[in-house]
Amino acid sequence: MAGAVVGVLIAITGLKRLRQDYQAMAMLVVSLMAATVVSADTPFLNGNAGLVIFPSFAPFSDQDPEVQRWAFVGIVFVACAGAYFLLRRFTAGPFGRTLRAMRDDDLAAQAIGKDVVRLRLAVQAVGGAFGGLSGALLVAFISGWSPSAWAYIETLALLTAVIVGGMGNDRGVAVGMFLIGILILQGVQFLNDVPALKALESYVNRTGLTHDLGWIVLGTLTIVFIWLRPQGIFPERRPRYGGQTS
Amino acid sequence: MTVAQRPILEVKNLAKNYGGVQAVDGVSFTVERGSITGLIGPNGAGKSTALNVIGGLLSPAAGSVVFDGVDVTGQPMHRLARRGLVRTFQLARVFGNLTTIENLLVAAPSHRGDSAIGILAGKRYWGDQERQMVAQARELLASFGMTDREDEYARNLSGGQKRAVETMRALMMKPKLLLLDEPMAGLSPSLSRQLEDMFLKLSADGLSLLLVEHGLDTVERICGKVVVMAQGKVLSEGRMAELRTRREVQDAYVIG
Repeated sequence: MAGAVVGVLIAITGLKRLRQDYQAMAMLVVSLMAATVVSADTPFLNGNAGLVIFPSFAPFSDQDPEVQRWAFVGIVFVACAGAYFLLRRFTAGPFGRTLRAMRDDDLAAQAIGKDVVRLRLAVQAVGGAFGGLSGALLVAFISGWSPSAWAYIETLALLTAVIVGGMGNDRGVAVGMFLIGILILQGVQFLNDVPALKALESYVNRTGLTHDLGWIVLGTLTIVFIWLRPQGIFPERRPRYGGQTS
Repeated sequence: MTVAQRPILEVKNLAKNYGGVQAVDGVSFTVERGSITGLIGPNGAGKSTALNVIGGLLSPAAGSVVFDGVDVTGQPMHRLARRGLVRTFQLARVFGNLTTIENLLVAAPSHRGDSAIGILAGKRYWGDQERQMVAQARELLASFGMTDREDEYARNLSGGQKRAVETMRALMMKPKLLLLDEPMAGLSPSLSRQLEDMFLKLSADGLSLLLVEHGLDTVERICGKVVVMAQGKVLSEGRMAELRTRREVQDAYVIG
């Protein structure tokens, strides 16, 4: 809910007059501002030390930690599936078509009676709400929160996921998120168990090498995909209306 | 005078300036219901600016625009479009990443699938309307001879086809008045003949059109009344054939 409100506030103040690319910049700046405000103002949200949230997960708190973790996986999975189906409702029907039209040419969209400002507000609100939901899940999982837990680079990782999966379609983004978020960002932890890398790490005398490798892989992936396959793993699908023509 | 008798569009003393330049300077004219009215004039006469002000893209410095009996001066473009005053652009603006038929469907007015309920309720709420719109769009495509381009991305269409898509898209909105900004620019002679016939047919069916056009032959063939602008003002008004003989019009075109 708070996500939606913040999204709409940002949209009303600035985005009414901005083009899409500048909107994205405005959003990034606002996120930086939010982080700065929190870390500068200690009494408000305890600055960089963050907040600790005690009741981690009431229904399962008496369970074994292992069970708790798997229960959490389940909850996240359900939330993702729910979000996916809800968002399909937005993107798959006439409303999604309207949004894609606006993306292509907002002047022409206005010429056919679309209220572009209202549409952007709606998108902003929905995006903000889902952003807020995922933030809430993250906070519940690490049972604490501080601005340093989520920096620029995490935002970039999400962008990579969208580019690799394929922009403009839900399936692509979901797959991209799975690949980048789970396989690469989390997968690097297990590289520590690879003896050769372990040896390399002590040879160059640099701890955390495998962790950094994850970021290197991410950056490379972004470049490779933009260069070789800008449409992503799953390109946007061409909609058909089931007629005699093909 | 009842609304039904009034002209579909009444423009009074319209003015618009860009800084110190008076692009449109006290322009008045009317478009009668069911007519094709031409708006011509040399480059820089203010035709496109006038059209942009009428269509709601620019707001006027002075004057009024009365559409279908209602004062709509300064209303934004999307609201005018919903009222039935729909424009096209000088350079056809299609939605390139939508297919041809999607370009038409997206213009369907007050589609239930665009509403909040429609989004949440899904197909069973808007499916019927969508089927009707698809049928309507296919009819239009057939009448423009573009049935075989239905599933092509609009960005891959030829210039003339893009223009046709823009016109069909406007027609999907069931407009009362169509503002056309140089619809023939860049079309082959045979294509523009086809489009002329289409406009004549639409006007016979009751649609009113206001046409900004450089090709005077086209104007002569399809327009009833023609308004001549020069240097931001209305210079003359009448049928094309008689305008050709008028001194001030000839002068404007030579000097302009």
